[in-house]
Amino acid sequence: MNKHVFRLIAVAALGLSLVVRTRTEALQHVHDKVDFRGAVVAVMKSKMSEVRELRTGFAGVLADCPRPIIVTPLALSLFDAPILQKAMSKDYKHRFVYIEAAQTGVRQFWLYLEWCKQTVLASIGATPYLPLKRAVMVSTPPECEMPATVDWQSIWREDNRCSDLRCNPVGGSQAR
Amino acid sequence: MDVGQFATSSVGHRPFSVSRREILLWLFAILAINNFYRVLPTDMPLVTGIFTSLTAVSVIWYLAWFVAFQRLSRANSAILATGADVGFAIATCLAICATMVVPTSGGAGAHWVVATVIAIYCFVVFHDDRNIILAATILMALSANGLWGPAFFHIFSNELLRADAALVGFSLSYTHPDIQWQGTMIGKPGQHVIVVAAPCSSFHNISLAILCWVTVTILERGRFVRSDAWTCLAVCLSMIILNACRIYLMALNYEGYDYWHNGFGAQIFEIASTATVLILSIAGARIGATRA
Repeated sequence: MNKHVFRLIAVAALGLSLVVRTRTEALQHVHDKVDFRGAVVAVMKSKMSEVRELRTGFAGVLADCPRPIIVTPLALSLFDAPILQKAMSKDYKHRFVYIEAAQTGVRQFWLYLEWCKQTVLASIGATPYLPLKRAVMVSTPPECEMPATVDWQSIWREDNRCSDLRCNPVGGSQAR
Repeated sequence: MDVGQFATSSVGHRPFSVSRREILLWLFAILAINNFYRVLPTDMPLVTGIFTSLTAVSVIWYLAWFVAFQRLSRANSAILATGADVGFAIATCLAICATMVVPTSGGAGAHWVVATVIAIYCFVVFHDDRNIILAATILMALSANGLWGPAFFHIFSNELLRADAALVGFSLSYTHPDIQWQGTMIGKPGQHVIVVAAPCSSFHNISLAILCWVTVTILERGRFVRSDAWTCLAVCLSMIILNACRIYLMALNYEGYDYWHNGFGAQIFEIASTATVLILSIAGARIGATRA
């Protein structure tokens, strides 16, 4: 290979990498503007009543459950999780959900792995989810079971991002 | 003399008309430009945006890239690349473009995986050229700071942050018995309490301290001696102690927290920690040079 051909390839690679990065950053700005809390409220409203906004997250009432379910949006690093858990009743069970990953312990590794997977899939348009760097902590009282039909994944689903339900904030008398 | 005669690494292959030094210079340049490239903020004038982007990067990174290029420029330019070298270079160019789809966070980015692969390739294939090996060592240290260190920190962050809080809490228990610590929280119950978060951790900047030590040692004398291990240890310990002191001051009261976390104290700390690791690295490199 002639050295000029190699130089041409290298310059093209440099230009392409900068273009791809600019596009990625632009998408990231879009992700930052997504109404994540609104999406969480929408999912909660689909199965719970009396959804209220708390200082850190949201509380909702599940049928046949005497105490509220608390859903808290968190950064994917889960750095706030330990202190939030301490602020709740000690007997609450905590579950961390991020797109297709769900776990009980404060272990961010698997969530990051899921984020990597979704980011790669999103770059080729092979996933319906937005790889936002935000997870949710679902806290339930021990006497209650969260119905398996709750579609937590729709929080990150791109096509649901701006449905009427989602784009409406928690309002009216339910807001606190 | 025909430079093709120097194609010692091309046994069994027809050499290309591009030197392996040039290939590496291109690969390093693509990585460096991507490293410093920040998408300019749209809410400020262009010049201010460029200045803000450039100052968002640690001075140690600039120094590291400078020394890496300095070493590469001293590499033997007469040795031509083999087909395998050119193939590797093109594959890594494509890989760098592919990794750009992953959003970056600060200096971290998936392109550091490719940088690590390039460094390993240099160690394995170009081990006959000391300057290339030294440039690859810096690239490896940059990768450790850009990706592997933060990744390790994220995986073990809970344990490391608890250790951090314990270190500061233990010190505080001697000077201020009324201050308690539990998990990652330190403070007076019911009054001023802080939570040690990842960016404030004592262990957060260790990979940057190691990068500084590697860079300065290579800049100073271009080879490592046994006593450099002590310098590395001193540099890491100084970073941990300085960070712990900062958290200590933040845990005392709200005024201390505000000054050292949000106020001018945060900048004093940044400058002091960078200067300390630089001075220790330079001193260690010079002491090692006189002993060698």
